[in-house]
Amino acid sequence: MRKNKEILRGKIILDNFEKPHEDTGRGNKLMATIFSTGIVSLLLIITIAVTLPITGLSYSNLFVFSSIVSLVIFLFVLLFRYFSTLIMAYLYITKYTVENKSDFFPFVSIIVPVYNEGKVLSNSITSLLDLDYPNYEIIIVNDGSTDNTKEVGQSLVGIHKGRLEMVRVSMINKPNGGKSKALNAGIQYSKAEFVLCMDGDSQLSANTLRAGIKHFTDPTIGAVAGNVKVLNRKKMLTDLQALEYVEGLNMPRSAQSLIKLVNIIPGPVGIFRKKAIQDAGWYSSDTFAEDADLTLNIMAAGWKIYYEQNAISYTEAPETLNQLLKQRYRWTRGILQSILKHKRHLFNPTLNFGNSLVLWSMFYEALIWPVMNIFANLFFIVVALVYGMSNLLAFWWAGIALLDLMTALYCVAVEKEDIRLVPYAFIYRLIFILMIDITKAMATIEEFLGIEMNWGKLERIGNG
Amino acid sequence: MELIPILSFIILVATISTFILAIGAYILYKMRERKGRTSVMPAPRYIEAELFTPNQAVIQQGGPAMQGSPAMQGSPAMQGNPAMQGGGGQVSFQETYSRPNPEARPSMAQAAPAGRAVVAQQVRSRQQNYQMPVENEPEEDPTNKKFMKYTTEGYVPVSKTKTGENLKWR
Repeated sequence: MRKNKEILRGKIILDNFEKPHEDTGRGNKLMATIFSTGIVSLLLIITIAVTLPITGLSYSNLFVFSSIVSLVIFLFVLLFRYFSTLIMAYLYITKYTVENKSDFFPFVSIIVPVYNEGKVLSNSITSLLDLDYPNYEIIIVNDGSTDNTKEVGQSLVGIHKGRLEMVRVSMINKPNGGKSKALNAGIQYSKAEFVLCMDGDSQLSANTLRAGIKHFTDPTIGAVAGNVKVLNRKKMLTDLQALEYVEGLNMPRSAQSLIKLVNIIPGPVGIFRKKAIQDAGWYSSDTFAEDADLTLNIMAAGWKIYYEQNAISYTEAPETLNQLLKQRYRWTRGILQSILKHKRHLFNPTLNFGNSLVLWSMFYEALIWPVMNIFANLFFIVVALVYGMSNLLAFWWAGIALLDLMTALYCVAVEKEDIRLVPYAFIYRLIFILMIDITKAMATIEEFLGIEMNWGKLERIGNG
Repeated sequence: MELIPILSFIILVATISTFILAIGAYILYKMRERKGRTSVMPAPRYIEAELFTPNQAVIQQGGPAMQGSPAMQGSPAMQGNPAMQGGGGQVSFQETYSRPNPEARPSMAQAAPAGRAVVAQQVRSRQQNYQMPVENEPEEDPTNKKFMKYTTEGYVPVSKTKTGENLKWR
């Protein structure tokens, strides 16, 4: 720890990876889409109006029949989605348990991008110094913070005693440019072959690097997605998010990991082979979900992505409804932007079948499923209020709650999570997911209408 | 009283309330967002950043490529260099910055558990193929450590004992 007080200050010139803005005539494209959709809808209505008398059905009968057919399709999709994910996740965990991968300890740079994270930065770095890994450094990238982040970060620079060895902590102060640019700055400065990218407010579990890095012994693996858990619990909204993270995010990731095609490497913890990032064209700032965009680019470059459930990152979840919906609004629009950026792969599976499969599953989760869920709920409201069949609602809820309860139990058992989360399954689908899906639908409409949006910043509490 | 009609009524109310709440929150969010809208300036191709790193790291990591003069860095020739792309930003160190208040730093150093030392030893033996970019301990000139002389004051570097003397072959 000698010379620990002496910190060198220097200048660093970084590639900003700024792509020239292309005016793709979005307005004209949008008008063409609206016009063509209107024409198709009109033709459909005319066809129904002309052919309905031939079938002998009345308009009310048509509503009833179409509702029943839609509901059956919805139920089928729901069950298929649940059970296919469960089975694949089960196979993943079985394979994971019996596999014995040798230890692997290459030098790793941990990139911590921070923007106004003064309250939580020390906690994050403390968690990083406690990693059960011998060979790593920490690079804090201050993205032009306006609070005391710079001072807190500077006080952390030095050679610190880690759990196994000494750990060097450096800091880059750059003008504000967004998380993707901050991560690119840190990755550029790093000399390591592997980088771990995280959020400034996240805290890693001690086993994260050791568990995650061993998968890179497989040369086809370009990145490893970590397991994100909610740090600030004991509130209904954050507990519901904790359940959502284990049931709605981690379980699908386990299922996707069976075929090594994880669709999103979460921002709070992702380990990358630097070559894979270079092949993917670095983090890009033209979407609001830079993690989803990079993941899709890595897969498009032919790399495989694995999920490591023991590489855990604890992150602060939104504590108010407004913050939560803002976060989900940004996620949805970012994911849609990423999908649209890769539409070439969406419509041409011969380019990279795995990538097309992932894109379609993302498209389904971001767009089709929320719309189906909203319509199903609206249908039950109409049926209850207009036709008086309100009992149907109770059976519907009981069925869904049972499925969620079963999945929650499985996920909590697999991840050794808090059993307290399981009873939330009763209101999870009925209230929480419906609310999220409505936000997703609104975000989707806005994205397709091209309405501008800006980055929101979650107000950190600094607990944990 | 039957359970199912009551349950259905509760679910109906909850579903309708969720719809109203979600749409209301969305409208509120849009109204707040509209107030704080700002224009976005295009970002430059290259950016200059400030680097703070421990002194020791410079000795170990800063090879010749990282020690370009500050004057070089602003030159267009340097900026257009494709070698810059793909890692390793150009670094030049201007000054040594001493932490104004070292005591303010949170004490994060934790003593490594005794059992961990064995693990660390095993780990080190497996690292033969991977070079550590930073070695944490050595800080003096490595040539001084090669040859030490034992005196009454303990081990001293050889160079210090040879002041004013030339080696003589016998």
